[in-house]
Amino acid sequence: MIAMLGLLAWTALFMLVCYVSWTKIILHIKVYLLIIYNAVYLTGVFYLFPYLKN
Amino acid sequence: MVNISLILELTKRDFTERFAGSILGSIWALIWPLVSLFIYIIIFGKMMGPKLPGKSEFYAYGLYLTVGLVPWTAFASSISRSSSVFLDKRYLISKIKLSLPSLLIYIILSETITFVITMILFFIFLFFSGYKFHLAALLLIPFIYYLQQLFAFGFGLLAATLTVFIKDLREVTGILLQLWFWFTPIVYIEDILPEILKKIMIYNPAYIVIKSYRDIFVFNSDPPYTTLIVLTLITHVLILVAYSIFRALEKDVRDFL
Repeated sequence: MIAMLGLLAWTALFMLVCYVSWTKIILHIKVYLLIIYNAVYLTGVFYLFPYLKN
Repeated sequence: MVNISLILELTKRDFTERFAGSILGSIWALIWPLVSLFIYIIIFGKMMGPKLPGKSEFYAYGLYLTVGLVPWTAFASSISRSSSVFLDKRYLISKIKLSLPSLLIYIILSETITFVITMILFFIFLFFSGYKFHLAALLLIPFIYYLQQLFAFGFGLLAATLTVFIKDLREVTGILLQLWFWFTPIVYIEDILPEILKKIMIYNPAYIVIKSYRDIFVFNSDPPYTTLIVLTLITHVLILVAYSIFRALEKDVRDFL
């Protein structure tokens, strides 16, 4: 249950940051920024999951 | 311009057009995975079941095969279809102003629908066969799938961009996927590989992904988290490189089509 809530919270945070970046930044660099955010997000999932699970 | 409604429409058409004109229509989308699962679990499971180390269930090899083949099919189809998507959709690209990488997204989504249908049927089978689910680790399945499809997206974008200029790359991608399939322990058991191949297997992204599914489903253990983190970073570097090459060649790609 905690693992599920943790993953949901992490996903919601990531989606919020992505949405704000995508709508506020007009430069093309936002695509690269989103790729980096996505890398941080997935790395976070695999890093945090063992702790959340326990 | 990223056009979400266009992506969704293309995904819907891609999925429904496969069965257009047939009497059973979309029911075929259920029949195909059912037949595949029957072959993997019942037929192969019965033939090879006792040969899987540490497992005695008759369907153990069937599980092993299913959690290898189902993700591989989504992964390989995504790459294979993506590699020629710019050429295949050239009529659309010349008529509508759209972001070319979004054409790859509809392929990934379409393959995801097939994957989800197969996995639902697979879960139903597991439930009725008394399988003990490793519940916490199951939460990771969507993320592992997301990672594999991101890798397919990066690889596919690179292949799609270069295929516009070098058409032979479409065939090369097909051959590469065939070799990749047999280099990855999907239908055979890892233990039969020579030591040297076992050592370099860790550099095979498909192996890491399939091993993660197997650890969760077959061996009821945790996937290799550190290796998944490394693969995540490699995948995103691949996407960054593929996207940078695409951006540098985008004008030429549109002119060539």
